[in-house]
Formats: sequence, structure tokens, C-alpha cells
Amino acid sequence: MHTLRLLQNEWIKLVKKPSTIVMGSILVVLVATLTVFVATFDDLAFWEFVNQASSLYAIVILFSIIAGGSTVASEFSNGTIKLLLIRPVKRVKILAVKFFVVVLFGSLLLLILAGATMLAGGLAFGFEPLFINGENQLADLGETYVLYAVELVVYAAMAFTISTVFRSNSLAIGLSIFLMFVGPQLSLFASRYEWAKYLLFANANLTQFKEGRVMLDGLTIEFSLAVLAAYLILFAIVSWQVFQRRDVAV
Amino acid sequence: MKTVVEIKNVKKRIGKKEIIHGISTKLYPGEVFGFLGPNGAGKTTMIRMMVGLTKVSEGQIFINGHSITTDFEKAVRHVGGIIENPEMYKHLTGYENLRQYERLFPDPLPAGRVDEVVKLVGLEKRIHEKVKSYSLGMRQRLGIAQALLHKPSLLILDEPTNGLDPSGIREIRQYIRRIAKEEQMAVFVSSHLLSEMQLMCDRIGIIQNGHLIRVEKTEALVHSGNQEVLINAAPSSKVKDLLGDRSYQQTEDGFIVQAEKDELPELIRYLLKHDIDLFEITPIKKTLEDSFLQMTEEDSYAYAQTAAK
Repeated sequence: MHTLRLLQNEWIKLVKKPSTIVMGSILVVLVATLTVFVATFDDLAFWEFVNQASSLYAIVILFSIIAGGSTVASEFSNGTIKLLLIRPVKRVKILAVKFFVVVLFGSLLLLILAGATMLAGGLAFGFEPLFINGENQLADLGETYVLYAVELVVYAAMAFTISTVFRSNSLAIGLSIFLMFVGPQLSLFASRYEWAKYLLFANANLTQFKEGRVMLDGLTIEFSLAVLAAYLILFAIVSWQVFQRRDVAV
Repeated sequence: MKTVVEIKNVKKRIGKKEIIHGISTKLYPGEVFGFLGPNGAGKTTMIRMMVGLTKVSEGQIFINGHSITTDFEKAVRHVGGIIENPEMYKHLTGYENLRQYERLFPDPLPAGRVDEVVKLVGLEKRIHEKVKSYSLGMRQRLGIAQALLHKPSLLILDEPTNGLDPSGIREIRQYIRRIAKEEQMAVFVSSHLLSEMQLMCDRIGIIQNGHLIRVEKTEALVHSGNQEVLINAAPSSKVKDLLGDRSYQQTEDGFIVQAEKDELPELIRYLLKHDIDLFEITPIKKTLEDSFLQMTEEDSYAYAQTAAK
């Protein structure tokens, strides 16, 4: 199938980039360092550690922002866009495939994170059974990671859209990372206004509902999912329209 | 005859400014068509519209009968090209780059096609090295390889000899001529290098300020304009008198006189009748460059005139 071959193309371009290999290595090294650090000062139970260490997912989002912010922009800055867009493939398809590969890459990093923390946790603190007090711990962890994945898709889409519109990876990556860290604070400052709960950053972190520490009053997971879906649709329309209409002159 | 490309009154506006003012022309199989013009005349804009990188503001472009605007995939299926420099994914090998382009076609290309084009451009030895280690000449060849991968019926080359050394230029030129004839492919080449175009193209279109001011067979273009002959004769004062009101120019080598070919016997008889020592009489072969400069000068002159009005 043609779409599969297009996916293969984008995947090869992404994973063969030196920076991608560096990202993967950094993630594994971070997990190892964290494990050694925690094991020196503390004695945690296995599942406790794995759950705490999952907060490294912020790094994965950061890497996904980098991948999402450069996939389109780098084709422009390298000039390869000219050879990419003169093939019998609709522009919208190229764009969709590119975004899908970014999400795939982010998800793979999340899996690596989960695998690495479990392995390192087991080695440092000893493995624990799957069920504790009749609860499936792995399923619980999986749920957390699914919520992380949604956040990842939203931020990657934001970086992807900025980079498609401005064709600059540094702007896309810089702005997205800035918003990712500052956004939630902004939402808190704005919390006395009604519109604050429609901000992307107030809704992006879905684990707030699982942990019961909801950022703004009145937020529910259903509401947040609806807001995020609206943002994703907006990002999709903007990047598609801009990419479709753009005159390529690089 | 079958047309490969039909360009119909194509205009391009950027904002309110019109930069291509209604260009029309046709390209036929097996011919090399040169698109000649100074920098900024609109060559690259025209080419970008032909491959769908830039939208056509008005008019239409058909490739093998398919409109590039409304039937993009079908039209572009038959086009191969290099737009300005052949930029490749530098972190991939030459081979991996070609595989990328191969996979962009909906119906798979025949097995072994990639190896075939690699051989065709003579890159077998270095094809599995990363593109960042390639010289400019090798990148040009890889660029040509990707353009030929799917056996296009239209090959578009924007300044194909840019940055190549003389032997590389010669090689590319011979190569382009050969494949055009062998594969019955139409080749659209743009350049501002006149001498280059003269050797490579069957027909030449001259573009200036977004107007296609002339389309001619290369031969006709080279021999167009007023013919000049060099007459070396003595004594020069007498020659001057005899030339009378003909327009001429005195140089170290003799007189450069404007005269058509069929006027020459008459002129020679006339000079000899008046006891002139005639040492040499040579028609001055004009190069495309001369014709081109003459034409574009006339054109800018005409513009200045209309602008003044």
C-alpha cells in the first residue's frame, strides 16, 4: 500500500538523523541516572518507583516537540521540499504521514521509558508481583501512559503546526517548549477568568484527573478531552490549509 | 505532432505585482527546449509552476494532457526535474535517497530501476556513501538520477550545469541530448548561460521581465538579426568613400559592414571596379550571445519608450 511506503520514508528519514539517536540515548541514560540516584537515598517499592519515574515523560514530550517542530521545517531549510512535492502524492497526505510518524516516534519513546524504568527499577529495588491488593499494577501504569500519550499528541501537534506555518524549526521548538513549561502557570494566573478553562495548557495534562489534583475548578476529563479535540482539529486545519496553499520558493 | 507540454497564457501574480505576463508555448517529444533569460526574468517561477510547487495565477499548464492545477498527480507523474540545486537528504546515502523517491510513486517502479539509473549516471562506486561526502558534481548526477527514476516524458532542469567544471558541463550536455533522443523525452532547460544553450538546445525561448519575447530554432536565432561582414581593403580613405551611406564601423582588422548575404557579390564587384586592394572578406558569425544581447536591448528600449509615453 502506498501510504505504508510513505510512512516508511518518513520513518527512515527521522530515525537515521543523528539527533534522533542522541535523543533515544539521553532517555536511557536519564533513567539509569535517576535510578542510581533514588536507590542511593531512598528505598522504594518497585511499582512505586516505576510510577514516580514515569514523570520523565516530560523529556519524551520535549523530544516529540523537537521531532514535530522539525519534520516539515527541515525539508524547507534543506531544500528537499522541492523534490518531495513534485511527486504524484497529495500534499495533505505527505503532511498527515509526517505527523503520524512524529506521534509514532513519541509513542515509541514512551514505551522505551516504561520498559527502561521497569528494568532499572527491578534491578535496583527487586521486582514485585503484577497484582497488589487485587489491583493490576501494570494496567494502572498503562493508563497513566495513555494519558501521557494524549498530552504528547497535543504538544507535538502544536509544534508541528507552528513549524508548518513559519517554516522555522527553531521558532517552532523554542516556542512550543516555552509554552509547555509556562502554559500551565499562565492558566493558573488566569484561573479567575472564565475563559481560562478553555486554554490548551489547563487541559493538556490529563493525569490531573487520575491523581485528583485538578488544576482549575470545574474541569472534568470529558471537558478536557473535548477542548483538546477542538485544538487538534484547529491545528490540523491550519497546518493543512497553509501547507496546501503555500508557494514553495526555497 | 503529440505535445508533451502545453503552456497556455500563464500568468503569475505575487500580491498585486504580476511577474509572469501571459506565457504560452508547447514542447514536443525528443526536443531540448532552452529557456533563456537574465537572472530575475521569471525562469525559475515558470518552472516552479510547471511542477506544481507554485500556483498558477491565471492560464493553464498541461502535461501529457493533464492539467497541473486540477489534475496534479496525473500531470506530475510524467515529470522529473531538478529545481535549482539538487538538494538531498545529507544524512542518508545516495542509494537511500533514490529509494525515498522510488517509494513516492503510487505504482511501484520495476525492480532494479534504481540500480539502472545509478549506472546511467555513473555513480556505482559511491552510491552507498552518505550524500554529505559527495562533491557538487556527484550531487548533480544524483539529482539527474532521481529525475529519471520514473522515466518521465518531461525532464525539467533548472540551471543544470551550475557549479560544474567544464568537463562535467560537457558530459551533462551530451547526456541530456542523448536521452532526449533515445527516450523521446521533452527536456526543458533553463539557463542564463547563452553559449551553453546554443550547444544543448533544439529550440530556445527567450524570456525577459516575465514576457516570452521570442521562440526560435537555435539555428535561426543564431543567424538572425543583421548580418555583418568584415572587409579588409586598402586604401581605407577610398573604401570609406565607396561605402558611402552604408552603416559601417572601422576597426584595426578592417571595416565591419552591415550587409545581407545576397548583397555581397554586388558589393564586392563594386569595390573591385574602383581598384580597391581587397585582402579579406569574412562574414561575421554571430553567437547566440550577440543575438540575445541585441534582442534584449531592443526589448528594453521598447519598454523605455512605452514607459516614457
